[in-house]
Amino acid sequence: MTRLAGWLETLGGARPLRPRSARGWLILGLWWALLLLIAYATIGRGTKFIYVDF
Amino acid sequence: MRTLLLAAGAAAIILGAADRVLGSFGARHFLPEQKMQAALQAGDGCILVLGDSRMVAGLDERAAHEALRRRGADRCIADLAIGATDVSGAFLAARTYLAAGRVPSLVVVGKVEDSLLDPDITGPKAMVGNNALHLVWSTPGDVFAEVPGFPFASIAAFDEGLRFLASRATALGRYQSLVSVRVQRLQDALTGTGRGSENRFGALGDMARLEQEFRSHAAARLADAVARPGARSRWLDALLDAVEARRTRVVVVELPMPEAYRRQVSDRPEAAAYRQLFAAALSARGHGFVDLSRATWAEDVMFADALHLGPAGAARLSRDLVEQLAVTALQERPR
Repeated sequence: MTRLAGWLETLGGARPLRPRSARGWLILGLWWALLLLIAYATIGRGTKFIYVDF
Repeated sequence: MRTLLLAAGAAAIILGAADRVLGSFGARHFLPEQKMQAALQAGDGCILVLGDSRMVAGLDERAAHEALRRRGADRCIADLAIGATDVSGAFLAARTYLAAGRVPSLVVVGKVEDSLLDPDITGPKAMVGNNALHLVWSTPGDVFAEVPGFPFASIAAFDEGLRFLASRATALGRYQSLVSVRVQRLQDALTGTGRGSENRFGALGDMARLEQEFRSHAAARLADAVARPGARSRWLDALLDAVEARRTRVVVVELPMPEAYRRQVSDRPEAAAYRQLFAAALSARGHGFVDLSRATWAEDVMFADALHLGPAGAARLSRDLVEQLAVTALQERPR
């Protein structure tokens, strides 16, 4: 349970993540990209009248 | 520090890849781009059709071709009428089409009362949905036309201009609103949120609200256009300039609207005065104006929603339009 709480704190940004290997930093970069893309895809815009095939 | 750069580099590579994928997908699936490709493939000498969704709804290509054949003047139709856009979008569509080397025999522009006056809302916040064509078909230099006053007239103009330039620079920026729509639809499906009755233009309730919005703004916009002729026609003038440069003629067609709109907007004295001024200004530049707004068949039953003609209305409008064009525009050679 403590370990899970620690993970959740890290995911939430309350606990700093300090990767110990290059692979860890790489995964951190991918995580940043994923977060940015989720934020990008869910930004709401006024798009009522578009009827697009997209 | 090097490890931090590694993480930042990995994130940048993923975002760059996402941009490339979206750019490729967007070019194939963005409706205005699809229509542009079809219009370009139709060849030279076509009738180029521009306008908003009311022109889209009013054009029945089969009926138009039949009417053209009867007149012995059949030719290709390059349909670049695009819903949820305004006169600035029509200009960009025409400019992109002409810049690709195509020469139309005639340009037909759909209009409803004040719809060819410059839009009230401009800038990046309006460049969503189909109107994202401002980001897709623009050049960096267009920032001065898209954001009047850029860069130094005001902080807002500077900010909007930078947003425009940043958005149009990447596929992620150009197609963001369209990705958002997909996500919203996914959200609706997951939450079981109904969208209500809709047709190809959107929810019927939204159309009724949009018609009321058009109605509430039209009188003031028309009165202003009559009081200050030419002050609100920056985009239309640019469109006419672009077409005239190809020695082609423009015919603007006044499209019918349901009875309630006609009573509250079209029958107003400022609407009549504006139509007169508009037709005279077009004529002075050698272009034509066809008024089909009061066609006898244009009863409410011909409309599919509060704004758009249904299939029967589209067939009638297309036939009437060709008949009117055949009297003048299709007989004349480009100047």
